[in-house]
Amino acid sequence: MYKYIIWVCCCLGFLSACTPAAQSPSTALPTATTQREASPVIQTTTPIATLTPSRVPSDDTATVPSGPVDALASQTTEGYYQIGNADAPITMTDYSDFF
Amino acid sequence: MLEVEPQLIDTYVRTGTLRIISRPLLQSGPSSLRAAHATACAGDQQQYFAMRSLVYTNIGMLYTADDIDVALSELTSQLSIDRAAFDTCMSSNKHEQQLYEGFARAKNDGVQSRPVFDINETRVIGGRSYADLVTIIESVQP
Repeated sequence: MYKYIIWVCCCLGFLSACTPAAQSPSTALPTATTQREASPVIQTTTPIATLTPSRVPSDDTATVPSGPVDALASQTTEGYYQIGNADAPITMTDYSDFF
Repeated sequence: MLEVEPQLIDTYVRTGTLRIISRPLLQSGPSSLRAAHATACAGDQQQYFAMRSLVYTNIGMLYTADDIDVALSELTSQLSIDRAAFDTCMSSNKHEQQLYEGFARAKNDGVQSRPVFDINETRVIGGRSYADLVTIIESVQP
C-alpha cells in the first residue's frame, strides 16, 4: 500500500510538470516575450527605408543615384553645401538655424 | 525641413530637377555657431548632411548639454567619421569666419527669421508641408 501511494504521487508529479495548462502565469511570460523579440518589424523596416527607390527619370534628365544623402553633396563656389546637380533647373536655398 | 527633405530628395533631387543649398543661420548665438561649425567639420569628412540631421534630431540633448562641444563630438560616434580630426577641426574654429560671413550675407539678403526658403525667385518664410513645397516647386519649374 505504501509503495502504491508513492507510485501514484510520482505519476501525478510527472503529469503536472509536463502539462502546459499547469504552468503558472510567471512561467508563461517568457514565451510571450520570446514571440515579441522574434518579431521582424524593426529589422524589416530599416532596409525598406534604406532601399526606397528613386523616381524613374526621363531619358533627358540628369540623375544622381540613390544612397546616402552626402553622396549627393558638394559645395557651391561660396562654400555652402548643396545636394543635387549644380545645374538643376530649380534651386532651393534653405536658410536654417541648426540650434 | 528635416521632415520633408527626404521626400524632396527622392522626388526632385535624385531626378535632377532640384538642388538644395544649406545656408546656416546663427540667430541663437554661440550655440548656433557651434552647431553649424560641427556640421561644417563633418562636411570636411563628407558627412555634412548626416551631421545636420543628427544635430536636428538631438536638439533637446544639445540644448541641455553642459558642454555643447563635447555633446557634438559624442554625436559623431553615430557617423563614419575620424573623431580626432573632427575634434581638431572644432577646436581650431577653422570654419568660424566663413560661417559669420555667410550669416551676414543672409541678413543682407533679407533673411530675418527662420526657416526661410528661396525656391528660385520665390521666397517662402516659415515651415511648410511637403505638399505646399511641391506646389511651389511645380509652379516655378521652367
